Amino acid sequence: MIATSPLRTALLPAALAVALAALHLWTTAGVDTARLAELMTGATPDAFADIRVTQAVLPRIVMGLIVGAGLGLAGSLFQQVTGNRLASPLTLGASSGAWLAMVVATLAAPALAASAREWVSLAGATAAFGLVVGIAGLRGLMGLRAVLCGMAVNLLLGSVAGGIVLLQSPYFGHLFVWGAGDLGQSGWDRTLWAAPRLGAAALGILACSRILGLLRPGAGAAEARGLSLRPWLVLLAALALYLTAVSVAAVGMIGFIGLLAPTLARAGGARTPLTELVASAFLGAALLSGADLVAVGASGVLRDMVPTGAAAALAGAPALVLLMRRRLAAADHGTLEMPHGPARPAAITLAGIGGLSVLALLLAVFVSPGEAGWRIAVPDALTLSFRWPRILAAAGAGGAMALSGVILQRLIRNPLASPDILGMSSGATLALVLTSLEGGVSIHTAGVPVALLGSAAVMVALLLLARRHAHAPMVVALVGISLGALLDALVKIALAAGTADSFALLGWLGGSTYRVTGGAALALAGLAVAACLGLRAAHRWLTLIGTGDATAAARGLPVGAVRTIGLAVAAGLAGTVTALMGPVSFVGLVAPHAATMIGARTAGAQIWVAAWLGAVLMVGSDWLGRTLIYPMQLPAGIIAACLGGGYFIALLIRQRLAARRSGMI
Amino acid sequence: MIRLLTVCLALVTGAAGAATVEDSRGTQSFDTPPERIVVLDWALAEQVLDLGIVPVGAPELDLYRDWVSVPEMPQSVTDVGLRTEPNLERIAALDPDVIIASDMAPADVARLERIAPVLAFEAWAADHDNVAAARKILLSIATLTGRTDRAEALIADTEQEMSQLRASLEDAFDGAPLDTAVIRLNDAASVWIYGDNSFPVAALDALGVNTALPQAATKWGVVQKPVEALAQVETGAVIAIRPHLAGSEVFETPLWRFMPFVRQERFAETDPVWSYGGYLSLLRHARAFHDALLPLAP
Repeated sequence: MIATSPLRTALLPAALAVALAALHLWTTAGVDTARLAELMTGATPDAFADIRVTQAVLPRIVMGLIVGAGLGLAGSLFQQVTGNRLASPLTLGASSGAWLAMVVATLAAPALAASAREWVSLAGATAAFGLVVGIAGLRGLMGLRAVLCGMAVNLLLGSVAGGIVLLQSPYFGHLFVWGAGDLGQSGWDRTLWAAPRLGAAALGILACSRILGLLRPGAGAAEARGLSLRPWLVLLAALALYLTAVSVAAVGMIGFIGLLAPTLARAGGARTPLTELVASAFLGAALLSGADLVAVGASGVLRDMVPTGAAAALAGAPALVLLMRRRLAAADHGTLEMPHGPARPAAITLAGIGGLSVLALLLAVFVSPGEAGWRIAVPDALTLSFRWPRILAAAGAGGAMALSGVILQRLIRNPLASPDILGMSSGATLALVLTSLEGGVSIHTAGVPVALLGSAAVMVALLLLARRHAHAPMVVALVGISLGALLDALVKIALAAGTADSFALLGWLGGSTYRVTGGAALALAGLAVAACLGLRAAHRWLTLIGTGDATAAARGLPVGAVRTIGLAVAAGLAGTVTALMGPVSFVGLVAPHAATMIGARTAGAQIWVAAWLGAVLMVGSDWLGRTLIYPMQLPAGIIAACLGGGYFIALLIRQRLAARRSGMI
Repeated sequence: MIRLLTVCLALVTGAAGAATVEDSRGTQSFDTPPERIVVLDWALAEQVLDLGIVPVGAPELDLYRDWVSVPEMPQSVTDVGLRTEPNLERIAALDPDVIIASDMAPADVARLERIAPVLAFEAWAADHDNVAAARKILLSIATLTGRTDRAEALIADTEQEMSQLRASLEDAFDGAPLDTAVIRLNDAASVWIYGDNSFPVAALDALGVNTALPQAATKWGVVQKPVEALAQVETGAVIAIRPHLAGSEVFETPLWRFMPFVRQERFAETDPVWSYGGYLSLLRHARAFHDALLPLAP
């Protein structure tokens, strides 16, 4: 092994950043080298080609360098402060919080969004990060839990933003492009706006890097030396959030740089906090310049332009899996204890849920707005023929996703596992979106087999990766995150084209029952019922495998086979639902928890209570989606994500407050 | 032969008689001309309004009034919801005689047919002429509603007025109007450029104006490019269609001020006109472009 000096560790990335920026300039400048040298040394531009270099190419390259450095620095800082190697502006929810805040402000208060960009963005980033901290707890930030919480928050915020954009305009192309993160500039304004802000934050961080050194041996050691770390940690987290906020406000959402740069820095030999920070900043700059070069190159070949952020994610997601794979030996043992409810469901609770189910069904069938206000009426045959497939499909999808979640949470022994967070829905969605884009067919007709293929591919990846790493939840989460980001990138390329087709795609991505046929609805409901019965018959397996591989094997359970079958069933359920009505998030996460909360703690009870709750949640969401903004409609999946996500976050925060209170006693 | 006779009969008996119309699936027959019409996109809304028919239902009316604005949408029309997911229950409540849709999946058409007869046209595709398709749809709707005379008059008037506009431009520019690119601004760094198979470029053709920044035909006839791509318009003009979304800030940038067409004062803006509209939007584009180009004449 070659000993690496701190200097070399930082020099190599710096050289790489400079080289990539130079390559970018050389490829995209469009004037000869001599003229380029003249322009760089202050010659007066006289042709448009000159102006393009000084006002579009150069600010773009500089923007790429400084935002890349900012994101790398923010990522490294998040990782060092939390001690979590999967921490980054994206995975801790900060980027999507900033983005949602900017979307809302752009639509609701354009003047505010223009004059106070970084503060709007910072408020969003802080709120989302605060939510993740609130859920995971300060100690939980160290582990996988924080990343899974971040993913959950990302899903939730993404749903809300998707719903807003869906209803806003026939032509909100600029929100899409910007959401995908693009470095295109037409002057120095934005770059000169971002540079001092990023620079000041970077200087502040470098000045505090000694504090990070104290964190290394463990916070306890530092506190033993009489130093109270908390104010410093808050300050450093605030600086990382500020970097994130300024980046998002300047160029939109660009993921992965902040996650990849520190990982590469450590792989390149960065050992001390300061060298990791500096190397991450340079690597971030190099990565973003490289991604932008790819985006510019692809835009030259393709009909429409490719946003930089999409290129970054397309390259970054697989790179991350490859890089982290070798370093995942240390599995994350942190578990998330879910609330302890009663030992068995109380009769009154069950009656309450029963009442709720009846209410949801009655509302869904009989109550609707009309020309003259709300109407409670027995639907005529025609109206009923429109309503029943939607109600049945919602119920079936809710049940199927809930069951998929029950299986995954028990198999992976992680209460935050679910088909959406683990990437199974993303796999199916990705397969469908690709088929639709490549084949030019409507996404509604791309079909179940394609979706099953997508979710099965994720399942196989999970099995292969997990076998090598003793089923480390970290690996599973990583695959999920990477797939989610890949999907996001592709969808954003498609959406950035911003035509009516994009809006159809966006509606589908919300998880809508609108186009579910009667036959498909029957199939979905049948699938959910069959899965429920099948799992009930096999519930002992689920109970056993949930206790741990060794215990289960000792009791004679063929652990490998059960895990494979279980994952296959979970992937099959998620893939079918995705094919028939689009990705439905949060139901698979929330329903199993809610079931446990009300006392369905044995696998046998959890199976049917979770499926039941999932079905009720989706039927209620579908009814709200059909009626809230009548005659417009919102996809049931978006409503379910908001209701389910909101409930879930409230639940986790309450649990943390309760834990703190009991801890004080 | 029998079909021809039926068509002749329909022509002779006029509004009171039966009508047969070709849509993307084949021949659709109607015993009486439909009165209550629901249209499911804005282009079709333009088509029926241009024919003097007030539909009973059309989608996303608030946004229509912002983005399309002409022809004016009467207050009596009921909003039937999203263009991508029209509200079936509301359409059924309107009790239409016919539902007119375009580029709709067969499964969706089949479902609409449970409410009322459906005319499903193919309006937007990369491999056909969108403007010719719109013309055909206008005539089909006219046949359906017994307004063939009116449609033919509209088309004749359009062609005549466009040739007048063309002559007026030729006159002003001494026979050679400026090559022109038509765009919509997206944000400070990107624009939409209209290319082949789009209404704006078809309108330029009709005006005898060459396209300054040709783009290959696509489904909607529009592509998204970085602002700097506009610099390729070295000697021609650029017209931007309003509204500008978040894009007007581009006017303040040095890059924009150095664009050849800006420095040579060959840039113009037009009032809102919907570029994915009915056949008569061709004339509306031609008028807007004529008015925008005229002041740029030497």
